[in-house]
Amino acid sequence: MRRLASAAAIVAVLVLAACTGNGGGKAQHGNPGGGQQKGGTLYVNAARAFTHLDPQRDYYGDIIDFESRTIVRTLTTFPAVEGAASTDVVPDVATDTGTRSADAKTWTFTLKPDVKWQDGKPVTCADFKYGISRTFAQDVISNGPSYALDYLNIPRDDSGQAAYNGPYKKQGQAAFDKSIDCPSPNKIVFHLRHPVADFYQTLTMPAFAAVRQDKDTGPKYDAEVFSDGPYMIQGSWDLRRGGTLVRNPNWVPSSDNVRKAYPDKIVTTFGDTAETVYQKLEADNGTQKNTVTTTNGPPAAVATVLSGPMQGRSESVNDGFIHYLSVNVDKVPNKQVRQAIAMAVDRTAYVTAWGGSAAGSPANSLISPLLKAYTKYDPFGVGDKGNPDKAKAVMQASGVHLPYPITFEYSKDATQDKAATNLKAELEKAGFKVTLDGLNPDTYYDVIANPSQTSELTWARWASDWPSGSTVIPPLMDGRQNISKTTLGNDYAAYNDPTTNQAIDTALSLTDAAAQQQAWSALDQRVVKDGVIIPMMASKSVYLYGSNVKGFLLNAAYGGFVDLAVVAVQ
Amino acid sequence: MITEIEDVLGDHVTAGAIEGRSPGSVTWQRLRRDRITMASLAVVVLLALLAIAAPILRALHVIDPDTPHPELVQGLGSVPTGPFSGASAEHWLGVVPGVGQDVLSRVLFGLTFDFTIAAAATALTVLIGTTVGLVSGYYGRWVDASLSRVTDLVLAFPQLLMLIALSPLFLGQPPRNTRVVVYLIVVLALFGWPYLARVIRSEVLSLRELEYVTAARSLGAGPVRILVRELLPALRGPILVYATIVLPTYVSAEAALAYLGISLQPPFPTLGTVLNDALPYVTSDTTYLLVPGVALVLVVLAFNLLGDGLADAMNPRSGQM
Repeated sequence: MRRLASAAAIVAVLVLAACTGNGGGKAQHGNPGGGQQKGGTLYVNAARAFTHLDPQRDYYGDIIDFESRTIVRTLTTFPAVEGAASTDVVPDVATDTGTRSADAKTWTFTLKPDVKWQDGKPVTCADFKYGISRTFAQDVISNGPSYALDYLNIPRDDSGQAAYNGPYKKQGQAAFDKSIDCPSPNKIVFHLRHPVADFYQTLTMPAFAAVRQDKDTGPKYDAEVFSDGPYMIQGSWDLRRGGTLVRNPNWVPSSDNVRKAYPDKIVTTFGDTAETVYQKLEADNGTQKNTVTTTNGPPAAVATVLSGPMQGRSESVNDGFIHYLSVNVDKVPNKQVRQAIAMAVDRTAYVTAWGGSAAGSPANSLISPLLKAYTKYDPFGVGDKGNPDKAKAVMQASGVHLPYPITFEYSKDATQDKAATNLKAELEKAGFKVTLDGLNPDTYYDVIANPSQTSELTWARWASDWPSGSTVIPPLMDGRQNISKTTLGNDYAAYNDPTTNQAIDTALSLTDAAAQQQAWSALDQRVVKDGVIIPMMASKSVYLYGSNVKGFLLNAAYGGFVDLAVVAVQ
Repeated sequence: MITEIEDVLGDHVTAGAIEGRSPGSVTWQRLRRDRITMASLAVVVLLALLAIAAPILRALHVIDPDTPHPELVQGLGSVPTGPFSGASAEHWLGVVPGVGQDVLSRVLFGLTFDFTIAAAATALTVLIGTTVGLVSGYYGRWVDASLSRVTDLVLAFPQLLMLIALSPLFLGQPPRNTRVVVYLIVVLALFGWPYLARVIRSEVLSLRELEYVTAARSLGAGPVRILVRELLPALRGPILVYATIVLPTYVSAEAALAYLGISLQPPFPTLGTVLNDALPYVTSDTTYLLVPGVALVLVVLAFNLLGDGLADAMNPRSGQM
């Protein structure tokens, strides 16, 4: 789980660079609920193409959201509701959210009888088992999440990898067959390597979706997904340009309590820049009236979109990303100095630099307020605005020489330059001498993960893979899985604390989900209090949609992207 | 543009022909009658004075280009609170969206940076261009042939593209401010000198045949003395005009490079960084875009008009065209 989770984490971070997403509460001016009718064509126009449609290869929030609502069903899924409630996982193909053994290592699900493939055949346990097995064929099914490799109880080889190489080469097939059991076509039993208290949440990922063996075309499946959802691909799908989805005649609405499937047809187009996507939506001509986008509003569009005539067809949503600063513990070994940095920063000024309340809200924890593991917390009693004077007193008491020189590395753009300018001013008031290093965004995370290039203070942002602290704390704060000679992984603070690591192991083995989330929160507070992590902002995304779109909803559980389960056109 | 300059400068030698007065005073008299040129001269002097004053004013805490005032930018999307970029008695031309620094201070300080870079690069351009032109035109033969080919070669490189392409090589990651400054000056000059070298060379080609040069040579003057003491003074005109015309192009090159990310780390302002930061706010905070935009236009326009006027004054025939 650890190694894989960290790989996942990198992807998550990269994703956000391309597509940050939604904000907390849905704005009041939208038109959620009521008035949705079946029929019509919905257009999805996005700047970034859906790189992988193959459920086992799809690892971006926007695509996961898109296909989970149209052509891919999972055992469990997120409900199509506003705000944090969307993270309360509900059954989809399964009849409930599963039965687990006391040790949380065996999970049993019963499949609904009337879930059908697009050719009318029922979706069975064998289909899920086959779909999940594809993740193991890493040479063919690349880029997807690898949680299955780590979770399923399959013997390890010498290098610690699962001794199974997928359904194409079939080495170790017997071992895999034991890890997922099909006692009957409508019953599936997972045998896990270690306790996973939130496994029913893991199963919301399309990586754990069913694939029909006779329809699997290996690498080509990316554009030939065989649907068990309310829609199916019409003709061929072009990964770069998009394609058209039409109704799946064999989808049984009563088998599905999440997807309303209002439009008759969904047409996707890719390739415009974010600015162009928004210019077209603002103009609201022709098919743009029926258009939604998975590209969030660029900063310059935010003020235009959220005020004036477009107010009625724009939404902002908490997207689950947390912006945070890491203080490198090798370069700043003095805990008091680290804490002084944490006390000096002004989170409200940071939010202002990002565009104010439309862009996010001040954060005090690494775990998003959307997650159950979130606890409101102010470890230094300085509030959101910070207190440079108090920080300076701490600096003077710590006995270090003032001004204390630090370098702040961040991913350079106009917005971040401003946030960095604020930070510099605040920290210099507290007795630091700050050098700002705005780095090339393309290679930013490589540079700050490089022990020889990283600096005292670095910026990053993160969102969970599913709404659990398990996809936040271990991938970011477990030094064992992150740090090697050549890289810090996602642990930009170079933090490798034995007590924390042990607490992570303990938390991972907890079988009680609530207790586990509490443990994550405690660890979150621990790293914040140590001045290792300085949470800055829980970010929001802004979206605009066409004037004929009804029931527009941004789903926070999927990173704040538009939820096609309930969107209709007039 | 090259041919234009050459046309303008081609016959300037005749300017010195009026009896009893020095060429300088003749030129100055002509200039004084040209109102547009005098106005641009006044603007240039004013801008230069502001650029020199900015660091002093900053030291005296009269202007402050760095200190953030987040409380002044609480509009939707963090645009300044209040009209005209939140202009007030303290911030005459408003504050920067998102961070609230004083726009006027940033533009003034940006002016200092841009003028310093452009003036240094211009000086270097003049040094290289004049030297190559003089040597090439005076010695002729293989010296001229080889230097001219080098000139052609450098001319063939697109300057802006080279600036971008070479930047990762020399600037490193992250780009340090001192490196950026040196890089801008050197590379701008390295790709800017060939035009001047060509102008000077063609001037020297005709000058070296004049009687006074022959006379100096027959009196036993060495080539260095002829180049520096006889030819160079006669070239002051074209050099001055070229310098006036090339300086604003360097200022706009700085702005273009800032757009492409080759600029100082914040919070240090340059005209280019302020302008580029303002671009996305064209609809939501127009004033913010206007201030650095007008400043840049003023610099380029004033210098260009001054250069044109100077050329006319030194070369009346082209002025009558």
